[in-house]
Amino acid sequence: MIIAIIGIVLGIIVGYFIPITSSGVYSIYFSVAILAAIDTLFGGIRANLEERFDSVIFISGFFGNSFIAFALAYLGDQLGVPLYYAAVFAFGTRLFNNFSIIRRHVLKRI
Amino acid sequence: MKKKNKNYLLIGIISMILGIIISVQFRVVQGNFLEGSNPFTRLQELSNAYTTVLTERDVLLSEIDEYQTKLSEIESDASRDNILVKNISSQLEEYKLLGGFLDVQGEGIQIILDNPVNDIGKSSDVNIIYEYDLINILVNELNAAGAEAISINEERIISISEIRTAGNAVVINKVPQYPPFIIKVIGSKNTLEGAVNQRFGIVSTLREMGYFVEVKKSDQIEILKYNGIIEFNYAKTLKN
Repeated sequence: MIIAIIGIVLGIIVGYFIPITSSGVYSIYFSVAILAAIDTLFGGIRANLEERFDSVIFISGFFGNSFIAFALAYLGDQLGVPLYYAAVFAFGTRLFNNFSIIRRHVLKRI
Repeated sequence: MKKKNKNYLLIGIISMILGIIISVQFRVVQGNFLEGSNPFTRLQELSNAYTTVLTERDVLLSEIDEYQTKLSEIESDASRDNILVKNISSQLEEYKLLGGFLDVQGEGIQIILDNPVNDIGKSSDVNIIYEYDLINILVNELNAAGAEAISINEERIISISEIRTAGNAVVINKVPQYPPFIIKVIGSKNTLEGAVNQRFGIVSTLREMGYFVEVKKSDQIEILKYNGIIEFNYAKTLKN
């Protein structure tokens, strides 16, 4: 948990100084990317608490999920249909599920 | 324990990527995109700016009026002393009247033209905005009947006035106008009324198509002057 917070803070500092900009057009892709990252993070923390963390699954999940989410968003953009809702919905649901399980684990330890 | 450290490292890396994405996106939104506000507040800002611009326009219009009265005061002052200037300024008044640069009043008619009342079960795709040619025909008819001054929604129709659809408005003198259109005409009220109300004339055509048209004769019609500047870039006077 502490590692994750340190990582986010470090990332924000790095991201503040690196000269990457994106136009507002891609904000859908960014929203999907942010959700994918949060989802992976929560999944990783959960697996770690359950002592069945697998680095290959963790990393491949992050990149695979992001790829599918980006592909959906792009396809939706091309077709004029908001397909990225699917990614947002799936990630959002999983995020809350994972969080509730993390909460249970943490409360049990206390 | 070594495996655990590796796990923490991976989680740390992913959180760092998350942080980078968040801060880049934050910077972009706070920077140029929508000038640091979400679409809803942006809408509010734009509508506020629109209102400000509208009031500014009104102030500028009243300024124009002020300067024009000042100018005519100066002209009348000058013409009092000099007979030549007096002649010229009376000619100037005449040309202004002809050109539509003076407020005028007199007898005439007033036509109210509006879209059909939206009834349930009645299609609403009849819209006068997309049939501006009918307004053109109406204006043409009025001119043929000897109209001396015409205005549509207080936009004076002069020699360079256009009437055309642009977007969801009818643009007259480059100003977007929306129904109802109040068309004021000065001229012989009986002739004008007869010209538009004749059988199978323009008013009956409009009514047949479902538009609301009301023609009212009046002894006191006031028409405002053209509020703009005409610049001739290409037409030069031919000297003979």
